[in-house]
Amino acid sequence: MFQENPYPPCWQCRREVTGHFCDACGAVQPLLGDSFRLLGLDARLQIDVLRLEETFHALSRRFHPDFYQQKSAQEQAISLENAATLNAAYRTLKDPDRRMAYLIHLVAGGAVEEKTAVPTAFLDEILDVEEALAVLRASPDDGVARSTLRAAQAVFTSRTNEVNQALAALSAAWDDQIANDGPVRVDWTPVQRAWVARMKAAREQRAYLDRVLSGIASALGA
Amino acid sequence: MDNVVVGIDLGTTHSLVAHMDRGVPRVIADAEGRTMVPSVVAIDAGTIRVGEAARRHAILHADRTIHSIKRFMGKSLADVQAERTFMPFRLSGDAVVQIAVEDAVYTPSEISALILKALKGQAESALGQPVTQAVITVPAYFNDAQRQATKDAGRIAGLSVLRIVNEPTAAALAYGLQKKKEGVIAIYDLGGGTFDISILKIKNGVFEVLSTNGNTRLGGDDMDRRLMEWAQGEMAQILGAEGARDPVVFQWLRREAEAAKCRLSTDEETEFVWVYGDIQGRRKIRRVEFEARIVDLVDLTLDACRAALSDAHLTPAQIDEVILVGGSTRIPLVQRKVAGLFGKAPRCELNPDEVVALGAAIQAHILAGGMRDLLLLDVTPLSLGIETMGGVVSRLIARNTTLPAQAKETFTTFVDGQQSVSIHVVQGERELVQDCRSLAHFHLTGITPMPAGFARIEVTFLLDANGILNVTAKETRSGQAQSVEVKPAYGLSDAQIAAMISASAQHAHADMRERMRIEAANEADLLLRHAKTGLAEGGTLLDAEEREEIARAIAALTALTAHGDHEAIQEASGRLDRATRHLAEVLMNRALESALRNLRQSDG
Repeated sequence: MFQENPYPPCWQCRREVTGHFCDACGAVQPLLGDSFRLLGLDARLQIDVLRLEETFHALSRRFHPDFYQQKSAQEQAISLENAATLNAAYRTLKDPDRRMAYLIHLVAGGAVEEKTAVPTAFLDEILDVEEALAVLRASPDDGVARSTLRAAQAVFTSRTNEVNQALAALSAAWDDQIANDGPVRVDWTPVQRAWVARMKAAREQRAYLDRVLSGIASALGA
Repeated sequence: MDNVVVGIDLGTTHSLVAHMDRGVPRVIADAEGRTMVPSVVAIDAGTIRVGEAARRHAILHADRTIHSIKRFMGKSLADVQAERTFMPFRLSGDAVVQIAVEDAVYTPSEISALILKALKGQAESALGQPVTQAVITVPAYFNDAQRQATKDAGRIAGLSVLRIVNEPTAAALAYGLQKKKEGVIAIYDLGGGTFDISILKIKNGVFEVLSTNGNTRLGGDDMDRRLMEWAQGEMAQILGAEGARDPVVFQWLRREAEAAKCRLSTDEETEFVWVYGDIQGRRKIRRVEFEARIVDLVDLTLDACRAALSDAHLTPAQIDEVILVGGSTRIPLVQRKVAGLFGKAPRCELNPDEVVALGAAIQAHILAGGMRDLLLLDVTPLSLGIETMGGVVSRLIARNTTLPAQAKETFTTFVDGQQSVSIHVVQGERELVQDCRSLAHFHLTGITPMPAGFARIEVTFLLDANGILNVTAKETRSGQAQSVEVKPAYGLSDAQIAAMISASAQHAHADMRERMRIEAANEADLLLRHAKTGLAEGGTLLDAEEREEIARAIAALTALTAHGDHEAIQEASGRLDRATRHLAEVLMNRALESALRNLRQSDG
């Protein structure tokens, strides 16, 4: 299938470019595209970490400013920017959690940082927890409040485990359909968007649960 | 001749310069064969002495000799209050501390520049060619201001600083190159004034730093101070508090404490000697007593090691090797404690004093284009953030992020027609601005007047491979670059540095005068010796008045050789030369006559 060349012409000699360096004048070009593509990976959540590292090292050898010290100021500036882009991509993809957050950002847009969302199924428990936390702040030895928190701790911990399991299942399903459909990156299908929306919702719930659990732990510990 | 880039280890107590010699890094020695230059500068009557000469000078002129200037790099006056007792100088300045010596004030960058200049000269003499480019090492835990101050020192010394490299990483480079090792290594670097721990992964020639931690105010100097404080307490009982604080006593103590510490690395017990006028004291100290006085300092380094391990998501058992760097790692207690934490004996087969300079030379060689098989990927030791509402820090780049690293943020205006936006950048790990270190205020100016919230200014915060921040901005709608004014919280402006470079040229003038003085004094010595022997040989052939004039000229010149400037010495030399001209003729004639007599005798 015909693919449009994504690269703009060379910034130096204005000729056609097909990769990271100009075929005609050899000048380094600004990096394009998402982190997965940059590091030669399909947009999957299970990746070969050793291969990722090898690719990162190989690309670092091509773009690191150390090797541009004797080049022109423009090439130095591009190499600096490219190395920073490459470092950020590697940092994102080597960590499973950041990798998933980045995939969600890629498919659904929005910021990479996560919001928190209250799991609606647990509104009652959450209100009880808030009340118990307030009681403990005033009288740290209140037995009723402490036992309420311990019960909530157990419920929320098991809920967190459920969310993690759901996320693992979503990840596996995502990777399967990527393998089936091939690496589609620009035009995500409605099904793909739906998968990612569910991942996003699950992560927002987990972020909320994490925050509540750490609040409970510190209140009980004190 | 090939352009040479040297590697410089600008240390708290000692500095070294190294270069790459046919693929092998080597430290460069001075004319006497010494490689370690004491980081000491003496400024006395306009004469600047650096290194060993300054150290000798320190004994009698403590008030004109500066030690450990590295501790002051990138610091404000307020920052260095705790160091005051160990720096017997009047301190002034504001955002940049200044040190008053005699009638002049110097910034730490200028003092460091004098050390760098001495190293530059040492390299130029040894290599027989000008040296204008260098890689300089700094503690990994140095912040932006401290790195910038080091770069400024290089510029003032006439060196183009191609890269600021972290000391432990440089050591890893030297170690990795020589031992051809791969795996995860920890570099424990305890120097004269700073401590760093860096954890690296070496694979296929790529040296990737996983995490770093440290303390820029913890080193062998602090251990010397513990010994000094102890000795000062004892001396105060004998000399009184005043005597114990005398600068001469202070310098004695500094040297004795350092020497005693070093001896205690091999001996179980040593003697600490001090002299004050006619009073002399000596006191035995055992290694265990010394260890008890420094164990808390060593424990602080272990805390930093644990933090670095945690940031790298590693356990001590996952570290393949622990490498010791820095002179203070010769202390047996340090070696024991490090072995205890990591569960393995640390390695110290490379000279811990030289390994950093050697690594700097390797990095210099890479930057000069001489080597492509090694690549160093270092990290930023401190998080970078900006101030947001309520004095809270919004983090842009986390600590231990691989360099170069960048973050982009979009800013807008809050008021209709607003034409400038101010951004406060801080460095540190705390949540509130007041607990972090202010790096700089950036002012985006010349924004086209628009309704509030309309402007879209994308600001790029880029930490370069030196760990130094560069900020650029552009208006995203127009794509126009936005002008950014920087007001560094610490550090020097370009104009200040330019002024210092020209002041440094004046120092060069002072250096030149000193050399001319020495040359004139040497010539005067020769002249004096000739005049004295001439007078002894032929004095009787002159009349009394001539003899007296020569004696007066000898006395005048003798008085000047030690301290006079070169003009005065030359003038007095001229006088002696004129006074002895007749004597010289008389002696010459006599020699001629006797030669002729001898000839006639042999003819006859």
